[in-house]
Amino acid sequence: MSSHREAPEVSKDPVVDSSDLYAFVSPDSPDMVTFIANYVPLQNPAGGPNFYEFGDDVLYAINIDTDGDGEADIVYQFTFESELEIPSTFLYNVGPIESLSSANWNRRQFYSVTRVDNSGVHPLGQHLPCPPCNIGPLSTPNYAALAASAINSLPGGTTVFCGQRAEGFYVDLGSIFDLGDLRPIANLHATFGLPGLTATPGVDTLGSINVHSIAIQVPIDSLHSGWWRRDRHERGIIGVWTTASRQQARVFGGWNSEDIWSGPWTQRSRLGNPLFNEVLVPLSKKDYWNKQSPANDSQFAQGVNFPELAQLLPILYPGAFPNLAAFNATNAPRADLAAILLTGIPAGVVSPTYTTYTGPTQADMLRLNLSIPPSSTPSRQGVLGGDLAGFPNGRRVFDDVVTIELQAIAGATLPLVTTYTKDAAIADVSDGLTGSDITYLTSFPYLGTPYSGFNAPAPA
Amino acid sequence: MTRVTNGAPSKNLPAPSVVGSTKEPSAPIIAHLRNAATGEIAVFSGSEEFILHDPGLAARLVIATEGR
Repeated sequence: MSSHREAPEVSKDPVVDSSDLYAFVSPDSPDMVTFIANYVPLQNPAGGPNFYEFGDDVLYAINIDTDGDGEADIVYQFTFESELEIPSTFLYNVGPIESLSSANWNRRQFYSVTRVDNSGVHPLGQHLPCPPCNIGPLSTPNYAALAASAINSLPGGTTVFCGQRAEGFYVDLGSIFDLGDLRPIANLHATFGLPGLTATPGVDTLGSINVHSIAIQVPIDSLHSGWWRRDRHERGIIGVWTTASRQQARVFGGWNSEDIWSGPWTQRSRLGNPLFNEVLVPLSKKDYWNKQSPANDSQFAQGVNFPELAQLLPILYPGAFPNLAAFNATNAPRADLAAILLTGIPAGVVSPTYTTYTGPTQADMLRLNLSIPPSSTPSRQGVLGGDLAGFPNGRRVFDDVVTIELQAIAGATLPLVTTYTKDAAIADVSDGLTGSDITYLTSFPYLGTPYSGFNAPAPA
Repeated sequence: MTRVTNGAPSKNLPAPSVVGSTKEPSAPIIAHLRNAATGEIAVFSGSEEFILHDPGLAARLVIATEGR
């Protein structure tokens, strides 16, 4: 979760494994929008000597649909290139790395960023440096400043950063994948004849874990499209998803030859809404889903309209979800989830003016209404918490998407579309985490300084 | 020979390519004999795929793999 190792193929190919996608109007710069796509998940910070990096043979993309058809109108592409400065050593670094040009730094990575839109291909930056991974106090002293020096300003007001960050997503994986045994309500869980469980606080599986982020901040004006209604101060709604692609053909070299690869880029992973492929797509179709375009997502609507987890909750927690069980028995589709995840929410459902609706095309995209300003009092519960600037209106780094989506599947959003009384247990449907122990940045790139290998896990 | 265009990301955008790379493009060519009977051969070069229909070449490739 939210898309960490969510499908068999990407679980074996971490550099193409898109684990989280964020899109939000920048709180410290409300004329800008920020996109962050995370890859190479579940990094143990001490994992040297070959520390983490992006794939040199992967084409990464942040795709933006501006007209609601589930196809990209604007694409930001990223490619990476690693270089060895000191080929004779086995070490990542041979002394402190105190600047991006340090002679002590052996294994480096650089990247190029390109915007592709209807007017053509526009290179924005080339051979831009990634920061090193956070090794420890001797190798990477003053890491925060070092990483900040890798934030690059590009023409047109665009800012970009690619490199290691602290994992900002929080989830109790151990409980969720133990048959949905949410610790805060474990005492209500079916025991399958085994001894009963006790309710306890959640455990953040991703605490002290790092990830690699592709972060780009662009002027909202640069996402202009034909239906832009500047005269009405309407900035429009965009749909966003990230993809990672590999070239189709590869030949692994023998004892005296190098690997070669060639051919068209073919999509290996994608991510729009958190947890979509993870929870709503059956295991048999997860790899297939990763290769599809959002424009073709009507084929996955069955998993949204009749989510397996909604069927399971009354079974896993006997007696706790009688209203959900009754709704399930009607075989009515989950119009609330279809709106949230596949078309966006029409105006008038949440409030008279709130909408993320992009049209009838069913497409898993992270939708962001650019007219909704950042909240001065944000709620990590997003729209469920009364904060219209949060998920599912885009996604901010601190949004508690696990609880939001678990509660939505449990029926919290059904009253938006039909007469329905929520089960009392919904308030407790959560993995029990608040994200309060995670430090985010208040400015770009927003995700916090990565944990150092020397200090994570914390010494006894 | 037919150029395959299924790599395009969208309805009207240029096909994905490593347009920003500072690395000199190495251009190995990889061929995949998809159907020996029809002679269909997929040829991968750069970021493109071309389809050949050459039963004679396909037959020679098959013979080569059989060591004859």
